[in-house]
Amino acid sequence: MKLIHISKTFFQGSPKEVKALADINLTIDKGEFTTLSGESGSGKTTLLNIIGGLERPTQGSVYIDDIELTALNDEQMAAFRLNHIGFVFQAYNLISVFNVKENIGFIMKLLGDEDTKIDKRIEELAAILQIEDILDKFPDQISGGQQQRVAVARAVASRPKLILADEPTANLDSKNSERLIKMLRTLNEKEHITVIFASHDKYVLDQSKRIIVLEDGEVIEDN
Amino acid sequence: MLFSLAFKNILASKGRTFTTFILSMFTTIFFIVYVAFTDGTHEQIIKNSVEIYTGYAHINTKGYQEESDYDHLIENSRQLETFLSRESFISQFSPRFETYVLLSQKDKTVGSMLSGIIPSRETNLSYLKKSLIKGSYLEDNDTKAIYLGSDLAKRLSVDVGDEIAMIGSSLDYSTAAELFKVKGIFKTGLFEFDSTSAFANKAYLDQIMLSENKASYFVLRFVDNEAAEGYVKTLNENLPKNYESLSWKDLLFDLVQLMQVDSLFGYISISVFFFVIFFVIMIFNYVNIYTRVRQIGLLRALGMTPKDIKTLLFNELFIITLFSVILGAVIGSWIAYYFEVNPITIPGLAEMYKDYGIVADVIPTRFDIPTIIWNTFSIFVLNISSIFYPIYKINKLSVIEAMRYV
Repeated sequence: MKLIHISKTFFQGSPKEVKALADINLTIDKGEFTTLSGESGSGKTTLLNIIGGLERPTQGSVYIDDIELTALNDEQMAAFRLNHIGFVFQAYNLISVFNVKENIGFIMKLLGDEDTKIDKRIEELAAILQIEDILDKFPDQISGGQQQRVAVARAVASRPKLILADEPTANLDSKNSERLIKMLRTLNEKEHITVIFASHDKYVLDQSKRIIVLEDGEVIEDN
Repeated sequence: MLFSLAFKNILASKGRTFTTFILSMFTTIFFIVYVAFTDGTHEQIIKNSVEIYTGYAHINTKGYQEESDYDHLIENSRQLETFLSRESFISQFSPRFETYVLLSQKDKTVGSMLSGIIPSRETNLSYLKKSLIKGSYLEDNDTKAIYLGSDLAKRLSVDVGDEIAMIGSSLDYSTAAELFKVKGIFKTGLFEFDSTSAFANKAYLDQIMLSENKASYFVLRFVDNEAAEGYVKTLNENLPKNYESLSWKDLLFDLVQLMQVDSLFGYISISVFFFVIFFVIMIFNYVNIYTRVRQIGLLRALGMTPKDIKTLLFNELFIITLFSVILGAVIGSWIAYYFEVNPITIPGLAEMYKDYGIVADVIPTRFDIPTIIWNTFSIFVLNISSIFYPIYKINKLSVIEAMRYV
């Protein structure tokens, strides 16, 4: 994945103008377990959103597997996200009208996978993420930690190339945070999925193979 | 998948589902019942006018409709009868001779349309015999007998058995005069008709008016009166060229137009109501969708396209509207059917609306399945179209804007 001269300015041209990112150039290789770190307002979430095609940069290009993401229209971008990117959000963001099983299988269903294939994958992920007992429950019937594991299962179910996780541990206690990161790490190693976090959680940083530190919208450290 | 999600969203948003369902259902019921009553009344007014006297079709000489004078009479009535008796789609026909006369009794003189009819044949073509309220109906061998409309009799202050003098113009423009005896009085309920019409046996009237073998026009009844338009077209192709046939729609052109205008105003009035409903549903959908904007943002982030969102929201309203209009159509149809079979009776209604051709104290209702289907479909389309603006607005938001929407 390549990010070339990425800049993002909010409210451009207005008195409220905010420069969130300034000329970011990055290359992230396949299978990396990377964290974008920095203080609040440093631009890490904005950068993650741009990588995931949820937001468009003011300037610059994002390439994933030679596809220029920033050149795609809304429909193409949505299709790209569906096929190649899994998201894990801070607020879990499960679909409230679906039970756990349906939430996990949602993206595969959208992709048109067969029910047997979906069921098999759900079973496999439920075992890894230890959520076999709650498959028939609805999001409001399970704990925050369980919801986040379901969100991870949903994100990886269709075997995307890339998982983007925005502050996935922010609402979890330390035990659940460790468990979640370990599981993501396992999935990263077992399924060779590239994982990028936006986080300032120490445990997440400790587990990351690469840490990119942002400050005021610029990369100040990359190791 | 989208259908399943739509269905689950419907079940989850019970308040929204219930309100939308009730609004759509009652709109459908209201529209079906309103149109059933309006159409029923219009149909009844026209049917009364057609069946009481006018008939489903006429044959007259060309120009008679414009100038109904002696110069445009059918000159050889028997020849035309021979022609008409050969047409298999004509079930009944009879000649009529109409002329304007003065009817006088003591010091009262009233202008009237006196028609010469063949009484026995007329029983199958009009309601004249059925409308008898006093005395007796005409017979084919009657002489000097006159059959009067109830309001005309009232205007002349005559009753059955009384004598009235008639002065008119015979075909050679000499004065025709006769002393008739009132044989019967009829009341059709058509105010104008009852207050101006008088009838006599044509065979006898022809002697006075010198109109033997002549007629103003022939009135027709078909084997299938619903198909009158088509038969009239056939007749016009086959009739001798100095004749023309006109269907009831042409004969009652003013009345038909009046009904159409009345329907149009009715539709305009009800359209205002529908637009209110349309905007209520649209605003309701709009607010409802905006309460779910974060969910929609999430779905888009996960890979659903704006088109998928459109389909999802469309499916939700489609399902609710489909069930509500179907239920509304069933209830509305049942109401329309019930009141067609058991019309509402309001004593004094006919008297109040006699000028409009209302002849009975009932509000007729028309249960017509094609009309109901069409009206139901209209409501369905109207309700469904209320979702497009909210969809447009929601899809204008970027994914992040939607996900962060408060």
